[in-house]
Amino acid sequence: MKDFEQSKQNIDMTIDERLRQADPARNQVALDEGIVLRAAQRVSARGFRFRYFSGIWEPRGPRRLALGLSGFVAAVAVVTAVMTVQQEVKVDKPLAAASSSLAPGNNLPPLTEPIRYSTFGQYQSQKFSQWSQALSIPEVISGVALVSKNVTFAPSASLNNRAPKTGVIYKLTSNQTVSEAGKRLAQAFGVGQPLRVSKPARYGSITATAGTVPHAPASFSFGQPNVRLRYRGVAAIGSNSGVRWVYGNSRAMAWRDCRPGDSMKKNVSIISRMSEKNLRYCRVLPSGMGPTSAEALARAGSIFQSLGYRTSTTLASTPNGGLYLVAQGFGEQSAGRQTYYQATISGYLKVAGQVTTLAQKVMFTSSSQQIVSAQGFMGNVKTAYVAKLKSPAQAARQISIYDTDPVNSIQLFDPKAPGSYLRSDLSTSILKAPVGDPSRPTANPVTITVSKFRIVPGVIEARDGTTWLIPSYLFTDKGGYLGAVKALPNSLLKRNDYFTSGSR
Amino acid sequence: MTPEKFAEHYRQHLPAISKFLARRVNAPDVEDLCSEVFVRAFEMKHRAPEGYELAWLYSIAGHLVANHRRKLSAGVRLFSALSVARFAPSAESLALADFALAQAWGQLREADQNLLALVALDGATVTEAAKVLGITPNAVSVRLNRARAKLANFLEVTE
Repeated sequence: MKDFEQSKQNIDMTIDERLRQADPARNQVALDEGIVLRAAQRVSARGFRFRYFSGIWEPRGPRRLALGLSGFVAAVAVVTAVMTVQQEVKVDKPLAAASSSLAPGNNLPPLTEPIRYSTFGQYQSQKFSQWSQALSIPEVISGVALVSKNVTFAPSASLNNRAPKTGVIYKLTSNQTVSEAGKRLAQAFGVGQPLRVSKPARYGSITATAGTVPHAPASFSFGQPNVRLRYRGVAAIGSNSGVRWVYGNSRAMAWRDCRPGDSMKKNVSIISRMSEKNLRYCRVLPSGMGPTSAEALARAGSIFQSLGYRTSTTLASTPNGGLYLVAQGFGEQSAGRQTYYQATISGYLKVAGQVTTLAQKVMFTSSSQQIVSAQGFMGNVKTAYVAKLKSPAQAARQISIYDTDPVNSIQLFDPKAPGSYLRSDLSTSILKAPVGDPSRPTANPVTITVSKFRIVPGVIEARDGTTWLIPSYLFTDKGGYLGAVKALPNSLLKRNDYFTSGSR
Repeated sequence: MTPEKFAEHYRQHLPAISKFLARRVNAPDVEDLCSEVFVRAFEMKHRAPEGYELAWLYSIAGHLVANHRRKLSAGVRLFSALSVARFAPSAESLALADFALAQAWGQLREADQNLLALVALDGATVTEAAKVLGITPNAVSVRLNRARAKLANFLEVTE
């Protein structure tokens, strides 16, 4: 019924309006304005310029050349100075010190300096980005389409009753080096090639790689394999603050370019790449070639165990610090002649009795017994700090539906729909509200009263690669889930994405 | 024109350009490409058409996005440099918000995607879109209507 209403609303909208509603840049915050001046100054300092489209480089005389050389020398001096300062900051950074022996809330030091978090991992090296892009397979996004609702949120009068004043902050730490982690991963996934370890890059991150990836990875299409690439390997990145890793194997994908006559065969699955015309892939194996759910759970579980984690397939029996294993999107998901290839086993880290979104993932194709891609982290969380929290009433006013506001919102684990962008228990008060765009001022929004909350750990990643679990409010009303908001005050959280003004 | 005057004049277009790029490339690449747009704009500032600076910036950004995508797919598509410039938002980027729309969008021709995205998402007028694409406003109007009709048609099939 919900799908039908959704569909009807969509058809009623004009094409342009519907495109605007799906605009991927709708929540994009503008970049720092200084970028324009810096770009112009960069050209000015370069000392010579060249004409584009004519292919001719055209130096403008000795004066400009001298200017350019002096600019280059100055730039080298500035870069050297910045690198020196960064090294010093890294060494003295108080956030790097965390105690592992303290029980939650018991004599923990207060958090005094803000956590500088980032959505895009500024610590990542070029090498790891390249490998990660080549080895990772994007997940199939499924579920009903998102429709914005014209709502605002207000706290109930009793929301602040029994609100905690402070909360515990956890930090992901690792007791092994990136090199050791890389060796362990290569062994777990059976990658035989020697391990290569990079020099420290930004924020001291080190990359370890084993195997082969294409020099220039292709842009992957939405939930579909690229059958023309050949790669297999493992890559890990990290510093003293934990390790992130990725594994991929293109040979696990039992797809090939389509041949004449394939479309007439009943046992051939065909997928078309939406972004590339006339490019279709075919799978000629009979169905049922993928692992069963039990086989995949056992296989992924043994890999996680070899990485040092205890695992369980039931929430209650998963120990703290262990991984709760969930089979997601398993088996074939068919739509007409299209058959999605994905089947994922996720292991969610349990901390202080609650499951977090910090996850390891192992993906199989539905037409192969092999692992096509895997990714995760190595390390475990320790209590680090205690911090004052903003009040629930204050946080309730910052709810953004569907957890899309990057500043205040945070994604939390949904036991019924793990890893989904959509909550399975989204409140009926939101679902019943009229369609509208919360990012634009609209008339007569429906006000939803927030009546309940509980504190759960939300995952954020600092720009230096450190992973933190911070207290977050999970808000509900009688109808279900309303949204989740970070409970730390803004003074203790500084966002350091590229579009945060003056924060780099 | 000094860098300061250039920045004063052009910084008003920064939000539009950053959104233009965010629709078309991965988030971590937006800042670098945005910076590159203004680098090239400053280098070619004498070519800026008065009154149509934003359309001109869109044009530069479009070329950069197309080059960026060619680089990403260079290993697979050997002759990608000879293919039509692709700088429309991908279906994947729309899929999170509207799955049916994403499927229909994927079936549109690249030229139609480019034009529709410019007008519907980037907010370009017909004249501005004509400047960006290097065709006449009349041609833009005709192609725009056709593209909308095609998308509506694909949507009907999808839904």
